Amino acid sequence: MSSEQHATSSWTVWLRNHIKRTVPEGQWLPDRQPAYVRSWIYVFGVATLAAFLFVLASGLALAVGGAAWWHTSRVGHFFNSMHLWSTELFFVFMVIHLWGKFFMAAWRGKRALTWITGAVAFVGSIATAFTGYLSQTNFDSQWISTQAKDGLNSVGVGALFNVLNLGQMLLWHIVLLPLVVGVLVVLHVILVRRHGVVPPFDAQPPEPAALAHTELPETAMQAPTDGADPVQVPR
Amino acid sequence: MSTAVAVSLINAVPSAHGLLSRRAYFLHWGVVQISLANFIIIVLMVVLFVLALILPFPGGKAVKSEEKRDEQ
Repeated sequence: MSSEQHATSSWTVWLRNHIKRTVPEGQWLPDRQPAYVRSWIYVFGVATLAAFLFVLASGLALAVGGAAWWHTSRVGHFFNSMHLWSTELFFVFMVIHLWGKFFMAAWRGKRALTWITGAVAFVGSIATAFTGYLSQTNFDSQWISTQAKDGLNSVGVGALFNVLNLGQMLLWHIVLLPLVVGVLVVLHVILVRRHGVVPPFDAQPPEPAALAHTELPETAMQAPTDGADPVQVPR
Repeated sequence: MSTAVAVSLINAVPSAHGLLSRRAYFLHWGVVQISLANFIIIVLMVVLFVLALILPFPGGKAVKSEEKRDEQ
């Protein structure tokens, strides 16, 4: 086998080429964005991401002390409050991001999978938050778990998992569901970088001369697949 | 256990919640009911959404000057 054949049959080369095809170089961390991105409504996606990082960081700190740490320690209480409020902001930003993208019909231009991964991540986040309520180890979590048990039994899924089982719900909350949401968020961001942010309905396609002037590489960011293609400006 | 001790223990349960032990104020519109706190948060989110649509993004002047420079 020649060295060239060996290179093409290597899984590392295949993976490298696949990544290049999925999100071409220059689109991962771009320094230019379409002009229409200069709007506050485009900020809420990355604000959601920032809040999510705070949720993960405060959750990691809480994992060190355990589920009941915050009852007995001021430091634990601080991280518990940080976990709660970053989650609140995560949902506020995510819902406003959802409203903005819904009214923008963000599934346009072959962005259906971007929309779907975002919607499923939203549902997964709700499930993760619910199991967080169950992990508080207080009267609230007792009350919520018994109410949830009745609700889940009434729809016939009570045999699959037990919301009264603190160990199970805590592991779901800190391992299983964050993994699901994390993978969906990563896929969502990859798809956003691949297809570019969705343009507004009234975005005007640029003059051919303007495109020639910019001399940008052929990326999805500068060429939304639904035809709208405003001139880019540096950020 | 005496009745007085039992009553004091029962009274201690809501006090353990602190602020959370206060009764939530609920709004009612027919079959719809929502706590005032949740209603205020939703209103604030709608306000934030509208502001995000109408408020100008900072740095607009800088962009225009850059565009002019590009045109030159």
